Amino acid sequence: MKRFLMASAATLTTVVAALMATSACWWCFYQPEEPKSLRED
Amino acid sequence: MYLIEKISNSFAKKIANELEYDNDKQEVIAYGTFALLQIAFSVALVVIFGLIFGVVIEALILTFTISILRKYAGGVHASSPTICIVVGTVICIGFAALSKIALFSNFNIVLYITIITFILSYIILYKLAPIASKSKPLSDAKKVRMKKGSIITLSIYMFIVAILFVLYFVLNIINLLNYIFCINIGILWQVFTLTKVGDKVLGSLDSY
Repeated sequence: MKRFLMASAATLTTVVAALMATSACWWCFYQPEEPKSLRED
Repeated sequence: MYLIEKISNSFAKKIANELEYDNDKQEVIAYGTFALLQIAFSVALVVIFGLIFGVVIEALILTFTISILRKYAGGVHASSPTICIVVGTVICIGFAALSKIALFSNFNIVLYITIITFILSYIILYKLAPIASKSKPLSDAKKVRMKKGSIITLSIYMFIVAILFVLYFVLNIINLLNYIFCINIGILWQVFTLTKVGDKVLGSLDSY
């Protein structure tokens, strides 16, 4: 159960991170450092 | 490191350890967690202060108008999540309260503001969008896509405002004019953050 919840959280946050990567800015006025693996080169 | 970043990193580390993910995946999870926490805090603060000042719907309209357009247009950034959330909340609640003034419940005034808003915004978005940040650089191809996205988003807002005007004529509900005003102000604020003046104003707030 714990592993399932962790995997679900990992999936959700990864999807959100991918959505952030497709935008110029996510939501607000602060932009954290974007992981290199998500950058479009 | 900021509290919200500490929480995100700690949460991501826990998940990565449990599921045996590498550092790249851990970073991505931390990034996504940060985004979710930022949205949750922002919306929660807007709802709480919106309830206190009696402007929840207007404040939420402003929040979503700004944030959705910002997704494509980018704009000036604060140096910390705290300043980001504080400035965002003050702007949304402040402008939402402003929308309740009788002057901005006048059809002619709202119509003029709407026309000026969209003319100005199309020009500024065409010339300046998107504005990237150092933490999130944009490739040339992505800049073209984001500019297109900004213009399309603004056009969708224009369509929504047109629908609201039609509904106002049919139903004669004053609140609809307040909502139109909020959409206009949200758009104007967001395009303001693309300009050099906006950069200076928010930069000076940042120095506190």
